[in-house]
Amino acid sequence: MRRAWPVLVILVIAATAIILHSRSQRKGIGMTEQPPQKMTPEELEAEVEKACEAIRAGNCGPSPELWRYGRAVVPPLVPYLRDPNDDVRRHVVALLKAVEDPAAVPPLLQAMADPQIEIQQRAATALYEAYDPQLISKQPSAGQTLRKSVAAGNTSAAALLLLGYAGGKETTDLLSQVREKSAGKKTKLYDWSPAVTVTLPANVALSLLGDEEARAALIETTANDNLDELRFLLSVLREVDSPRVLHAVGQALDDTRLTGSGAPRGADSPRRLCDDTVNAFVDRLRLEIDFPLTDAQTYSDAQIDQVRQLIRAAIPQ
Amino acid sequence: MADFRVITQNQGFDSDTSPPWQMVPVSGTRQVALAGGTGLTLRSTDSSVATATEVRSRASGAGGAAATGTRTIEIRGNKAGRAFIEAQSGSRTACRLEVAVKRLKTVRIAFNFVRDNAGHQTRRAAASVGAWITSMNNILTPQANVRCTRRSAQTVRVNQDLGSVVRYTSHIRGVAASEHEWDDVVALRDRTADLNIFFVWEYEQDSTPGTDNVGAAQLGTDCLFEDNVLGAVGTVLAHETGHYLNCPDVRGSGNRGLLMYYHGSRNGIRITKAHANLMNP
Repeated sequence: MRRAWPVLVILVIAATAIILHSRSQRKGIGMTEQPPQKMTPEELEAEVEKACEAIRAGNCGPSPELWRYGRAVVPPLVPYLRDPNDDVRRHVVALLKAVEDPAAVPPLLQAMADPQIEIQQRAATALYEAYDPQLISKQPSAGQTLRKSVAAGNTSAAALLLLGYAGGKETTDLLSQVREKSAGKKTKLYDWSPAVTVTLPANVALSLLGDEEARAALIETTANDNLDELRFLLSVLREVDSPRVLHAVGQALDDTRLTGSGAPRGADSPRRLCDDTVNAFVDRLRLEIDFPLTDAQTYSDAQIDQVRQLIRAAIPQ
Repeated sequence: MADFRVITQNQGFDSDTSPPWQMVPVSGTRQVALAGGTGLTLRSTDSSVATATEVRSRASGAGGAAATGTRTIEIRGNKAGRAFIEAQSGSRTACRLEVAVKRLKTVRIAFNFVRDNAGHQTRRAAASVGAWITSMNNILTPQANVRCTRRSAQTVRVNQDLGSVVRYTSHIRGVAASEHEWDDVVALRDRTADLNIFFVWEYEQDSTPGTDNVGAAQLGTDCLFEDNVLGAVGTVLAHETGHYLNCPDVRGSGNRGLLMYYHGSRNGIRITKAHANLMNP
């Protein structure tokens, strides 16, 4: 019996290992989905320092996913927004986006005064994509920071769109100047999204600020049938509040041109502009439809018509 | 007749546009030839954006420098924007060059080496990443001022059996949802990278998964890249980065020298004005 003990211990250890392994398998993901190990603020500070040091040294192998610490990782990141190394500052902006906690908004606004316009653009996109614009606009001197960045040459679509929430004559004047001086100049919302003229996001922002001329220009844009511009407008529908403009964009429900969305490039995506329009409006107006939304398939004529009717009922003519 | 011509290939000069076009980095320079330009003076339509100076002259052709001299012109990018360099005889403009001065655009890439729980794994290894980045930047930086950097390079494990082919099928009607494995893979993305590249053993995105029709594919911030990709890996990665930056594939035998030519085994490395402007507006 005494000789059986070591065998029993080994069996127990093996069984425990198998159970733990199968649990991690059921979670469906490898190490990257494990909850972060608990750390004191000092330990987290040391981890941030280590990560930034690795970037400075060009050693970007596997690194701890600091964003998983959420709000707690924000304070130790802030000093590195002044790091002399551009790559370190880029990484801090990426982490501040990934944490998706409102505590990251003030430091991201700080990054919009970065010496590199490209980093300002990254900060604007991070703010636009991951945070509530109403919350951003409530930050002290948010409008001033945004205006300064745009005036210095940050004409990223995200920066211009965020100005739509800033308000005030200074903002309207700046957006009007950008619109006039940027004829032909292109910008994007995201790296992978269509390039459109700087005028378009400037008009969306001005429209949000109540500018009738900008609203008329947006309605004109929808009549131009430029696929990239229509796709851009669908992607920024959150910033469109004028019923006239919404109705004009909604006419894309009749547009059956292929957009290729919802599938990788090269795949024969059946997706059309009218299908993308369904998703954009259901999301924007929280329409209650009786069919499931899809990102990759097409909708039937009846389903599209249902959305058309719901839009008519949801916003005044 | 005077005209601006390329001196070094694949340095951001596009002669197929009218006027020809040259990309110049902010605070950087590019040299172009001014053929038949003897005696012409140079002016920039916006010297705050770009300026042009002559570097040296050399005789060319039977007529010598006086008649058909080719001059080497250095264009300097001062700030991001667009300007024209005009070669003039008195008040007459003999020829023009469009100059796009571009800021450096950085793309931070996570290189993910995929394996599943059934023994399938990519043959590619993280040790190659440095050489791939060099190849990608040799193509993208001189022509579009786009620089790729390594955000991370790591093995990621999908805890399910992905089978012998990893598939994207959500756009195909009638295919079981379980066949669509793209989302299971890209869920492991590095959220702090701009672009996540996932190296897998075999990838397909049509109704014939048994036939190898595609080598790599990009959607949004993700790219799946199989082991059997045709062509040089660095070049195909640069092509996929072009897709990430919103460049479409181009077809037609006349476009075979282009980076964005659709077929991996035949694509070249040249980036046109249109594509450079999409990648880095």
